[in-house]
Amino acid sequence: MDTFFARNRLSAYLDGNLSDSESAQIETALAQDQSLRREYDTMREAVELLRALGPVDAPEGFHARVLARVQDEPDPGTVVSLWRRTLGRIPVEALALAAAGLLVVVVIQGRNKSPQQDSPADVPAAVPAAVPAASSSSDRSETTAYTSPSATTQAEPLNAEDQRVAQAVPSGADGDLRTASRRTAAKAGGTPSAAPPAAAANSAAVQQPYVADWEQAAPQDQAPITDQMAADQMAADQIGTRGGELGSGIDMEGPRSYRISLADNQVMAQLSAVAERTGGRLTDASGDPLKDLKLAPQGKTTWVHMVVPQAAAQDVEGYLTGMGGVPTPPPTTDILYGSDFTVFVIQISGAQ
Amino acid sequence: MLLLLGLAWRPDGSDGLDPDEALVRRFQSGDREAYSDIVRRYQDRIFTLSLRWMGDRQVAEEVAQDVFVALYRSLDRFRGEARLSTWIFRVTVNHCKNRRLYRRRRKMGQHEPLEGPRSLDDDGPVRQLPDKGPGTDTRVHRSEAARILQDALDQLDDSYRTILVLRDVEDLPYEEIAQILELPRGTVKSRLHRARAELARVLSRTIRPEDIFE
Repeated sequence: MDTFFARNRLSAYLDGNLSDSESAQIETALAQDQSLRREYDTMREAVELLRALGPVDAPEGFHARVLARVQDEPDPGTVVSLWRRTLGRIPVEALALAAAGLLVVVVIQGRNKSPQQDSPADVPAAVPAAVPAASSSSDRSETTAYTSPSATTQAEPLNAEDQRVAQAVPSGADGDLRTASRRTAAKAGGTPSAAPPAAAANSAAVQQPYVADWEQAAPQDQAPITDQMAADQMAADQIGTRGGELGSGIDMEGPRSYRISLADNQVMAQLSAVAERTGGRLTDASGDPLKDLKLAPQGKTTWVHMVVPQAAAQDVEGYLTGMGGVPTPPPTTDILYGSDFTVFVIQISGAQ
Repeated sequence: MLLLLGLAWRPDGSDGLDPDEALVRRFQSGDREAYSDIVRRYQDRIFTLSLRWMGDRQVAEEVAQDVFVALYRSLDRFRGEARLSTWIFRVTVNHCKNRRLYRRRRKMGQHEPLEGPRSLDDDGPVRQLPDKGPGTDTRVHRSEAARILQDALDQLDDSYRTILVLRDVEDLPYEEIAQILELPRGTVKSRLHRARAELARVLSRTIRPEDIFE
């Protein structure tokens, strides 16, 4: 085992998770290579420090405080508990969108009805059904404006005002857009709780950034994380690191992949020369050094991994492109190469 | 036959169940005292995990409390497909991530270091522990080392910090870490390798084991 591969097994060696033969190889490599030895010692010391921290006792009274917090919780399995759980599973964003969608439907239905409302007598009849809260005489004109086609033009300035309010409070800031929304509703002539639908529809537009702000601002206030949510979050967590199993230096990119077609055996020699020139090497798909530089028989694909120092990656890309290599989506690989290397997975087909 | 019955019977009434499983069943059958036992059983480990993740005792306690409240609300649905410990650790990691994200967005808990540059790439002065002259209080020294180590953990990527704490602080096996993080075992190994290398890189500029092992 050479230094290159020994380096990537140091952590497993530290944990005693290697076979006897692999451990013996690591020990030989450590004895022969001083820089590897230093690297191992540094890692071992870091782990020892971390382990020396040891477990920490929970603060005094922690147990009692937890029990006090759940004292008022409904018993699991009860209707209240089930209702809370059901609501907790629905993302607030979905509830907000549903509410906004409902308002849009109401607005559209109101507009569709309005051309038929030639008789002024129809208007009061429509008002209580659409807006029960806005039944006072002071709100009547607002409601009429909402149900008539002219409401569109009357609502425009309000919409613009909403946008100004929204722009004044960036979605990521700590400003309370609910206040802005209430202010907007009040400007429309209603109270926050009894805003006419036109104002409510517009304030719903303002509430969208508010929802995004909530999402950013109060994760600790969310309903408990369910198994499914935990799984979803874990899956999301993996997205950022997938393909990064080959070293921290290429965490976000993973291996780079190229396909070379219509190649002959010379291409292997060329690739080997490129790897050697850049201080890298060719390996097979399992990560072992490539000994045979021959291509697979006609009709079969040859897979070669070229592991090069990160600094040489750009040059290698140039070589591969010059050899007719075409970038392709990288395959999934779980081989550990090290943190300072870039891996090119090269697929060679069409041997002659 | 009698032998088989004898093997299956347990005087404690647990029917040979794993202790966690027995507690869960007791809770699901209405024994609220079982929840208290679960909290007592896991409070130190969950607090430790939260503390190493968050780096602040008060915040760590809040997170740990939230985890146990979440546990209370969900325990009746726990079907035992994973181990209880795996489930609790997973929820704790998620709570820590959420809380950290929240604090980061609210710019809470951010401060300028007093001891010099923290960047890994700068050439600024290296933070060092005070010289250990005669009369130096070893406990103070250890506490300072722990603080520097915690600082180093804080500098790591979340995924690195998670795996280091699970493996080297909580001493969990690879298989359980893989289940908690829902990652292949090979990925756990490679990520742990990189996390340790990164921690070593950060710490090599600050302290040595002999600083606290004396």
